[in-house]
Amino acid sequence: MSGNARVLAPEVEALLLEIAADPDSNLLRVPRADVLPELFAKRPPLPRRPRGSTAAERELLGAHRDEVSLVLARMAALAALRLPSLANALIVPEPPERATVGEAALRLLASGERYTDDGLVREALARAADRSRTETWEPFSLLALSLRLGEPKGARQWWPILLTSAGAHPMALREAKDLEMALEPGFARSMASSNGGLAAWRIGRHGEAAEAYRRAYRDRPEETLYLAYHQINAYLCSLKGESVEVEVGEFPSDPTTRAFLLSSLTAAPVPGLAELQRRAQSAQSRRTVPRILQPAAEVFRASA
Amino acid sequence: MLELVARAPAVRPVGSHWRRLFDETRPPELLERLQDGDPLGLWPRAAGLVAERRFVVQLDRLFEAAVARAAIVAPLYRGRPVIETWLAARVGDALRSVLAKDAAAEIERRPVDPDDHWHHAMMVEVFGVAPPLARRAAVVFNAFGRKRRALLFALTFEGRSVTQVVAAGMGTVEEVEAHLAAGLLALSRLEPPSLKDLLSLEGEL
Repeated sequence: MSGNARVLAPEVEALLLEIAADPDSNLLRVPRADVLPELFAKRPPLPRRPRGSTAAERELLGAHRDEVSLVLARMAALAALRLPSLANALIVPEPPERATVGEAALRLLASGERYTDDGLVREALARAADRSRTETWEPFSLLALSLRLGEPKGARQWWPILLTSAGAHPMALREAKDLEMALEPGFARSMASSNGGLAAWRIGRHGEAAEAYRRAYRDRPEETLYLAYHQINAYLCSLKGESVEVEVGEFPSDPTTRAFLLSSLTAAPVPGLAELQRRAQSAQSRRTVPRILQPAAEVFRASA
Repeated sequence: MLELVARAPAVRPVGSHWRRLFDETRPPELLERLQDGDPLGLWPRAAGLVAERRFVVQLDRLFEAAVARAAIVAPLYRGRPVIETWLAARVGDALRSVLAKDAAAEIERRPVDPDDHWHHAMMVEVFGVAPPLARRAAVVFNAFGRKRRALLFALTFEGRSVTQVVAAGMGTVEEVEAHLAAGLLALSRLEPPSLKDLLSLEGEL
């Protein structure tokens, strides 16, 4: 997502850019992707009986409030996953759970199908979610509404990935670490760790990324992609002369996983990566790669 | 974010329902009743007024102000004017108070509490103004004359093209382009508003 992505007519956008080019201008002075998530998060919670709501809406938002909030957060994350900024990023989806009343209703909302039993629910929630012509911001709008309904267990876990999708990587990393501290060992914590790893990777903090992916892998050893990312980042640390304790495990080597790793390594710009790729190709560095990091080094060199 | 550009929900008639709500109820309790499910339909009225006048204001703030005003003066209401007119007046009072509060804060150069930056997030989203300056940007926008405000709103918040607004009869190409350039320039400079701006705003409200 571009920070300046807005739905403006070309001639209006052109004039806006022209006027903003003046050094004294106050227009276009902040990367909107960085500041908007925080502004959304500060909006006060919605009351249990929102203004102007129908009986059906009150039922949905009262009896199923937590579910609705969680589903909205998931919808936000799914919307974010469609953004080019997250193309080929390593994101392991949550396993499907039993559909509930709230979820079923929201699936209908998401699909845009007519909800014949009570069309007002769809209209009201769409209104509340601030849907507008600014489709670019829809993930944040959905998450903003989710947060206004409360903060059910699980909803917050999508926050880091949304921030990453918007390019707000340092904030995503902080959020992911906070989440990790608050969660018990298990699936949700491994997701938080890996989302922190993704954010750290995107800003070239390979040591932090390696540690985050190690923690994700320890919570879910069956997810060997976490191990792969840990080892790739550990290898990059070794190229930079930094020392990282390397987790031992079986690096995934099947063609599908290898292709995914290659595509995700080049999916988005990472500061300093070109220099590391150059170093990785040198004969000396090839000779000094520890045996345990050989597969990671091979994948990384292939991505150059 | 842009509740402002969403279609305002329909206003439902209140009828005589207000009598049961207002009878012998003290303002603090009434305030709670009016917030709970919005039985008087103040939210759609607030959204409708803002949509009609093209002011840039956060609808949650306007709703809260309208509810508070209705709760305070409800004990004095005896059925005249008709409830619909009385409610419209409360929403109008609330809009005036919210806009005047922001304008006065800017005239006095009071900094914005960072916890309140979300009130004017729409100016950050649309114009990329830094959050501490977003309230001033909203005040500058709202101080535009009605025609310029309507044109700027259509061209930026609604994302319409010059051709579309001309086709909608909002002015000639030259007029529209002149209003757009002047409006964006004012938002670019963000000169602090003057007492004159506040008075002209009062005059329009």
